[in-house]
Amino acid sequence: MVVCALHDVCKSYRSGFAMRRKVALDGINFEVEAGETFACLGHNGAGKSTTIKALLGLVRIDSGEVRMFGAPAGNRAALRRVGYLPENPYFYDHLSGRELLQLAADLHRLPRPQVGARMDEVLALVGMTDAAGQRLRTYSKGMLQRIGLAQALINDPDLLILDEPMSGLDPVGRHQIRTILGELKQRGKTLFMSSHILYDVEAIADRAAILSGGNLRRIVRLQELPAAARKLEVQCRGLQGDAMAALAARGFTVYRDGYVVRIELEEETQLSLVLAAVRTGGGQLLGVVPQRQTLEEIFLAEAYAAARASQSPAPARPVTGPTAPAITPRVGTARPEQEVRNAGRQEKVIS
Amino acid sequence: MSILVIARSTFREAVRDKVFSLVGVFGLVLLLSTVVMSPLTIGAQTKIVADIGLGAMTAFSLIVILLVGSGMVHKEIDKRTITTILSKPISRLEFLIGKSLGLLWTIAVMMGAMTALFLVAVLLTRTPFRSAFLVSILLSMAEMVVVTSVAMFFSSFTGSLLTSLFTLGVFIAGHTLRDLETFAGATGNGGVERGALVLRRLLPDLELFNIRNAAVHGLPVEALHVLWSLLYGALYSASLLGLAAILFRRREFR
Repeated sequence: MVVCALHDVCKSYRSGFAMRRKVALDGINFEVEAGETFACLGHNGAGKSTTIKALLGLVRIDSGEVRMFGAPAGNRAALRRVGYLPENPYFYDHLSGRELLQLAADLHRLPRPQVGARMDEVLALVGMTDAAGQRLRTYSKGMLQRIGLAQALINDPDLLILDEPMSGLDPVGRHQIRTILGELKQRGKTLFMSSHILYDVEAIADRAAILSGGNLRRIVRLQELPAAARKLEVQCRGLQGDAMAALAARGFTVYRDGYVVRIELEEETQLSLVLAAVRTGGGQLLGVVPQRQTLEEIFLAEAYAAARASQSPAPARPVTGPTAPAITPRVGTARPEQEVRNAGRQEKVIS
Repeated sequence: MSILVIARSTFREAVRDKVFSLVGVFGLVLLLSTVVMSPLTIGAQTKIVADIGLGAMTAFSLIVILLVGSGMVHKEIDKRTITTILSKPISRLEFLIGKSLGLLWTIAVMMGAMTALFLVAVLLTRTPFRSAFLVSILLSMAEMVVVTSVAMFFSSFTGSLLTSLFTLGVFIAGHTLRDLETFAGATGNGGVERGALVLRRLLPDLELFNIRNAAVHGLPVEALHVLWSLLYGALYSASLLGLAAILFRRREFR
């Protein structure tokens, strides 16, 4: 069953003194099935939040069609089945957490006798039971995110729409939200989220739509990503600089990640050559890891393709060394946590 | 139901933002009027309390509308709380009416408290009590309903500062429309007369709600005038809120 669908949706905004028209969505098409976790990916201004607002009827589309549970966008009956967590959640800060949930429950017209138990349930789910009596103005960013999720869940929605649910959270907070979303997914809820944290999307989503400049570049089915496995990564330590340079000169991507040197191989047939180079270069082999194509690789490829197509400046490159030449960007396999841990310590040679 | 939920939330916000501290200021004004002003007005002491009391009630209610009401909708948009609210099953019209009712609820409670203080002052200063005092307060409340709808109308398409300025402008013009028409007639210029007539038709005639002089001086107040004023206020407010809802429906929340 299709829960929400966007067909040829176009939306532009007028802004500035000259009221210049800026395209936010340019013919977006996709459908989200019941029970699916669907993510919208894209850098800032890609159209993720506009897509969500079009779904909720918060902005008027120029053309096309938006449907939710078979009804037009903003339909009252459809909204009864929806929970929404806005980006950087802003709520009435004069209310306490429990009062916010009561307000959300009242707007959904939940029967009063059930509301107390439901509030306790969602507060426990997001781990906010103890802080529920505090005013929202005293909440931290992570607490606001969690109480925001609680108010979105108060009506036990069939569809949960989350705009950047991990944005601004520390690793612990992100892990908590990810765990909660995982639980909701297990319960069969349909999740629609926007994010630019690829690791989180990869961990949760079934499909991801890559948006760029208001265009839908591609929809990736994440379960199919392992099928693209082809690369290998040789990990070693103690490899001499000369040996690294020699491997780089032969066309391999070689970089130091902390004390580990990583060498990327395009083909399995190159393995014996690299292993020999590691041995002779004084390196100690740590392992050979098959590399599947990551969402990050696909996302960056699409982002660069979009940038080339529009001839606009390319988005910021991933971590590179100060002398890294402007060649094909390395589309790393390091997880965001790793990248943070190793920030400033990576030395990279790109062939 | 949703309207009441929004109204309750708006009222709660006003309470927690300490809007009712204005009632304390009102009490102070009354006290000053009796202690300082009354001895200066030989023979008219009793009228001073009634005059200042009834006038201050309207003034303080107007201050609440200008300071709190004018920014109410804009604040929701600016702080983006509106996206959370409108993602729930509530229409924009219900939201707008709920906000208006919440503000009027605040003003009504404030007026109630000010009325109590006023009656205490009347009692203490031995000012002769007239039922017209209460009718005057009722009409002041009706006037605030109209002014609230004016504030809501402007806030449906513009920011809080402009809403405050426009609302204050309409309040002043609403009390001087009749004079304006007289002056326009005196100019003998057809264009000016027509302009004044258009303004008279468009802007609310707030002088209809002003029976303070009659109440203070014990002049008769016709029941028909009171009923007509209440009906006029209700119809004008409903029309303006309807217009505000149409404009608000077109608004986008980016």
